[in-house]
This record gives sequence, structure tokens and C-alpha cells, in this order.
Amino acid sequence: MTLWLALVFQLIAAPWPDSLSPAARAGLATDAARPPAGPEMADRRRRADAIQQDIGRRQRARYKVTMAEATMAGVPIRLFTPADPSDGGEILLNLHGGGFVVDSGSITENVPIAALTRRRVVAVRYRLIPEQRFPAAVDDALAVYRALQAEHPGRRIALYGTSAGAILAAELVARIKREGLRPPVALGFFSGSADLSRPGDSADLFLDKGAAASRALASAYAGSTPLTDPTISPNRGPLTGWPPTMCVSSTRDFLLSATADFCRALTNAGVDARLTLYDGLPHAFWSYIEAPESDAAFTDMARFLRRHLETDR
Amino acid sequence: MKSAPVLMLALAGLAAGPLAAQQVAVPAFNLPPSNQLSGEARGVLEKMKTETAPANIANDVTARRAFYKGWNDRRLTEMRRHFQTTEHRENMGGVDVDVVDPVAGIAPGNANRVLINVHGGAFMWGAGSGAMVEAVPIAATMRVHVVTVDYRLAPEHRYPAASQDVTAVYRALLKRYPAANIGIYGCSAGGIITAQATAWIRHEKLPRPGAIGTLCGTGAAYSGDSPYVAPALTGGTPPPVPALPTTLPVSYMDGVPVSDPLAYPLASNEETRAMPPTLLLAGGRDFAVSALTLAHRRLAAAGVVSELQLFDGLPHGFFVWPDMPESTEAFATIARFFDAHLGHAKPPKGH
Repeated sequence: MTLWLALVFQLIAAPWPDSLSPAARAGLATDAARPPAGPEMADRRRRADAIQQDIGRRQRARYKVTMAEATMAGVPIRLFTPADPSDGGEILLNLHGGGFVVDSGSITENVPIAALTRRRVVAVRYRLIPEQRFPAAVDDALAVYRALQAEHPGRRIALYGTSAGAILAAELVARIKREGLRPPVALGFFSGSADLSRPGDSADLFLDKGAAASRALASAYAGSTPLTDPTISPNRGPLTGWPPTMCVSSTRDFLLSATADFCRALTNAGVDARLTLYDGLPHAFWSYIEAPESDAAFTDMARFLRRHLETDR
Repeated sequence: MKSAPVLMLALAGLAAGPLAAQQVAVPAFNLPPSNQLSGEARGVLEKMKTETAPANIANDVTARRAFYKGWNDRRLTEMRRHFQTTEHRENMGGVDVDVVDPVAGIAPGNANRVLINVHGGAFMWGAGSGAMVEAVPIAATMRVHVVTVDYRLAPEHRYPAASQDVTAVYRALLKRYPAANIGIYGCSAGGIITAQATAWIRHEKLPRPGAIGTLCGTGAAYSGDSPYVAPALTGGTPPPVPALPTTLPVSYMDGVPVSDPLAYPLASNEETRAMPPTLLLAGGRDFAVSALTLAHRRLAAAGVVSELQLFDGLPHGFFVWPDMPESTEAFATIARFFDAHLGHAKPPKGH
């Protein structure tokens, strides 16, 4: 292996690119200045939830979206309703990020999308690790997906997720296909991975402790399931019948390599897939940085999701 | 997967102080090859290291041309082991070109189509075997005519010499092919000239080509993170400057301002809007990646069909090395893109 190690140049002074807005820089600074979580898992989850509520409060006022806590098929969900919902039964299903261990997106990933698509969004508050392992979260998401289909048979459902949620969303699509259910009309794969065994360059470049950290988290999530198993890494399984997919990442995202890799595999399989990258920004920035760059990402995501909710294919 | 330690690296500079000081001191560490790469690609990466230009010819154009001539000759030998084509030289519109045809014959759907290749080589070399290295695999993979342009080079010639030469060839081809059936593509300097020539064609009031591929370079200055990060990963030196130049730092573009829409079309709203469907493709360790991502988003925002494909762990212009499946995939991607976006129609009678 040492044969392949290339010593990276001593020190790079990389300025933030000129193209980053002052608001994005301020948002990054605000996020960095948040007090760290305590040592316990409960502390980390409380901290993540406080951030969700804090940013979410401003988002809800800005976008005029209401939020309700509920359960569906026995799974806790958050339901987001825009001020002027479009008619029809179409609905969006979100799987939030947070490294499978916390919830760092079930509000902030969804308020802008509900408003910009004028559609209701159901966010699944799936079971987390370390208490649960794969496939508990996929089971929860599948139960909600089935319930949404049963509510309005034939309704158009678009699925999206960020980070761990994008990984789960791809796993859910593979599961839905295996179970012979009608797949969602579109997939928003926002900074994810569909092959947990091959994180690529970006994990080494942008993740503290690199690929080893990526592997440790993936293994904690996978439990006894091998990372090469197509149920947990769907890029290793059949991609026929995969729904149109939008892939989003950024060039300082440790999931950049995995996101680009899956998008290429989908394109090669004849799937309608499209990759959009934001330069100089970190992992999943849209879910915790209030800035024009996040607005642009949400606008682009919403345009894609709305188009597929409306179009007959 | 967001967590405090993950973000610390990128955010270290932010907590410290004013915006001007938002630099990140990146500690040295050992980077393995991307685990997305094929075994063959790992072998090619080793071979690349044995083929780097000697440092002592950095300022000697004659020596560099001689070095890259031999370098491209070796790549072409490798290409010919994979792809069978015939070639002949012609003059089109006053410009010398090499016409490359697949031995397997033109595909039935491609009878009325042609691709123009604009070779790379830092605007200073690449004619001959370098051009063939880019034209041969696409002619054979897509089974289509490829015309590769022997455009005028720097430092003897300056912008817009190459735009004019490509446009002259395009104008000559318009007598035989509908514009919608003509594609233009190039890598590196060739990717930049492809975008510039597309704007020049519009400036000359000719109909626009059916589709273009600006690969490992596009019609904009290098920007963003990748000009700093990529050299550190590929054995080079990051630019020792706090801010990147706003124009392309090459003699060919000397004195041409970024506000010139024909020279920097992807920095111009009007030229961006007027682009045909555009493919942008690069390796993940290419210094041009960030410029390509921005161009792709600008095209999309302007309503232009564009496609971005990234090959993790591979450097600038990786697909001139054919002995790896990643390059085969890149050729297939380029062929598929043009097949999807070029027209098929026969030229109207009278042509």
C-alpha cells in the first residue's frame, strides 16, 4: 500500500474563493462559533435539535411554512405545509442528515423545499445509531413510504435526503425496487454515497482522520452487513428502473467523490441523472448556513423536485 | 454525517478573524490513491510519474515542444493499440486539419455528422500526435468523422488566432453539414478554445454548433479551490499567491481583459445564454475542476443544457492515457453526449 501513498505538499494556504458571499462566510463563522456538544450522545442530539429549532424558526417565518409533529405507521414524522399548497395528492418525503446519530436536518432541509415546491413535506424521524443499526432506519422510511402510498394510491411521491439522509434515500429506493413497490418519481441525492466501501479522495481530503473515520462511521451504521452489500451500497446492485436523480455536492465536501461517482454510474446506466457542485463550500452547507448559496441550492433542488411531481412520465 | 470535527478543518481560519485572513493552513498528510480507481488506473498513475517534464526546461518553448512531441507520440502508440482509425491531411478554409475516420466504418446514424477536435497543449504545442491522441479514441468509439484542427500556436500567435482558425474550419464544414450536426470538443487549452470559438462563431453570425464539450478547461479563468488543491495532490506547486489572477495566466491571452465576452464567454451572461448543449468533464484532481463546476451552474441557470461528469482521483487530462477503464468510460461519455444532442438530418439540397 505504501507504494501508492503520495506525500501531499507541505502546506497549502487556500483562501476562501472570491465567489463566496459575505453571508456564506458569516454563516460558516456562526456555525463554527456554536458551543461544542457535551460528551454524551444525548448532549449531541440536544445540540443538533437546538440548531434545527433556531434556524428553523427564522426559515418558517421567512417561507411562511407551518410544522406539525405527528406519527405515521408508528414512526415519528414532521409534516411541513406551505402557505399556498398546490392541489393534488403529490407529496415529498425527506430523510434528514446527521451522520445516522443525530437529527441535523429534519427542519432546515425541508422548510424552503415545502415553500418553493408548494408541496407538503413529510420528514421521517427514523431510528438512530448506536441504539439501532442498519436496516432499522430504512425500515422506518419504508413504513412511512407505504403509508403515504396507501393514503392516496397512485400518488406521486418524490424522495430526497441530505448526507446520511441521501445514503438512506438511495437504500430506500433499492429496497422499494426489490419489494416490487412503485418507486418515487424522483430522487434528490444531496451529498450522499451509494457505495460505503469506496469513499474516494474527498474523504481523505476533507474528513478529520480521513478514510479511516469514514470507514468507522460506515461500519457503526452497517453493523454486521458488509459495506459491499448492495442493500447498504446500492451502487453495487442493479440500477435499472432507478428514478430521475439530482446529485448535489460541494468541492470541500467529504462526500464529493461518492456523490460524483454515483451520479456517473446512474448516467452510464441510462438513468436521467445530473450533478451540480458548489465550489469552496463544506459538506451539506445548505442545511446549516443561511446564505445566498443555500438559497440557490434550495431553488435548484425545488425546481427539480417540482418538475417531476408535476410531470407524467 | 456533519459533525464538529468534520468541519473544523475547513472552518479553522474563520473563527480566527477578519475575512482577509480566511486562509486554511492545511497540514501535510499521506494521501493514498482514490479507492474508487481501478487497478489499471493505479498502474497508470505510477507511469505518469515517470513521464513528467524536467524542471529545467520550464522556460524553454523549443525544448518543451520537443519533450511533449515525444510524450504525445508515446500516448498515440498506446491509443493505437486500442483504436483503429485512418487519417489524412486536408486544408479546410485555409487551415490544415487531420481527418480521422474509424476503420470499423461510420455508424449509420452518424453519416451526416462531424466532430471538430481542438487539441490541448497549453496553447503552445500538441499539434500532430497530441491532436491524434484526442481524435482517434472518439472517432473509433462513436464511429464518426473527426476533424482535428492544426490551429496557430503561442507564443508566435496570440488570441484570437485559434478562434479564427477553428471558425474557418467550421465555416468550411457548414457547406457539407447542417450546423446542428456539428460538434466541437477539446481538453485543457482545447477546452478553453472550444468555448471561445463557439462564441467567435456567434460573433461571425454563423449558426451555432449542435453541441460542444469543454473538457478539463472551459471559457473562463481558473477559479475556486482546485487551482490550489490539485497541484498539491499531483506533484506540482500550489500558486504562491493569496488570490488567483482573474484572467488566464498564459502568453496566448496576454492583455485580453476578462470583460471580453468572446475571450471569456462563460464569464459573460449573454454568451453563456447562447451556448449549445455543453459537456464538462474532468478528473477529481484536475486544477480546472472548480472552474468547470461554476461554468456548469452558470449554464444551467441560463437554461442551457449542460452535463458535468467528475472522475475521482484522476488528474488533468487523464483520458489521454487509454490503458484504464476510466478513460474508456470517458470516451463513451463523450460519444453518448454528442449522440444525444447532435442532429441527424441530411444537409438541404443545393449544398
